[in-house]
Amino acid sequence: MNDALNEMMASEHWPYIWPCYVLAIAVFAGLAVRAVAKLNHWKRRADDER
Amino acid sequence: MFAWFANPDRVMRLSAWALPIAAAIAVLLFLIGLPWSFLFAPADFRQGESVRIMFIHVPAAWWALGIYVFMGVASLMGLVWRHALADVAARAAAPIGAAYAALCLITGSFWGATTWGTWWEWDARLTSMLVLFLTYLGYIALWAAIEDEQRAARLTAILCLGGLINIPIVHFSVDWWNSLHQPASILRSGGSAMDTSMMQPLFVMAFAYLFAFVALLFAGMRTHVYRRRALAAALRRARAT
Repeated sequence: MNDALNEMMASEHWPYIWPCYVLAIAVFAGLAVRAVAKLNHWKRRADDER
Repeated sequence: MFAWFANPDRVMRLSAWALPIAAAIAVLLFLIGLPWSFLFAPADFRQGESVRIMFIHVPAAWWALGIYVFMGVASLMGLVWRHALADVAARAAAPIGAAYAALCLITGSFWGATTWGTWWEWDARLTSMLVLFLTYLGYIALWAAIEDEQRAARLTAILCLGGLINIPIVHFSVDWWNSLHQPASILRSGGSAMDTSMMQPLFVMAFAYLFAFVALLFAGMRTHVYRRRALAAALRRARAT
């Protein structure tokens, strides 16, 4: 695994590869946090209004 | 079957157990797919290591199109059959589709920079994908701009159905026009041109994106159902006092 990673990091494409993976993880984490925050907010509001 | 989904209580009961299951499957598939595509999938003989961007970029492109088609079907059901939760489903899907389209455009730009030597070209595939992203944003903005939810549902459904014309344009743009973008190598007549050693992690990532969409869609639909209940209760209370 280390060899594969070292080989990739030495490649000229490395500065273009890792930001895509970081971005993908950030997008899904952001979508999940947003979804949970909005769901909790409106669930609480609906429970309070009942 | 679609009528079954028109009952908010049923959808809330279904999503209460389906949401965590879909989320768990998505996390599991990402835990397998990300290291597989990042470290263990082979480098391409022509593109070298840069092909690893494909595992992020291609599923985002597939599902950005797929989610829009889903929204189109939901919009049609809401507009024609007055399905009670169709507009909720389409509205909940839109931010996820917009995020997938943005991810596709940005990672495509990185991939283009390292393989074509340019971050952006106004060619048919890239431009039609940008139009799809802007359509998502327009759809979300229209929902936010109209206070009357029934009117908003009708107008956003019309916008969404109009935007469907762009879906075949995105898909076939590489066949219809000269493009920097490569032609379809998986979803094409004559079968896939890709080796299974790359196809397997690509499909794991594609299913991870799909299950993430399902989990986020259920979360969004539950949010909108709770929101409607809260606003309706607040309105009833205001009228009573």
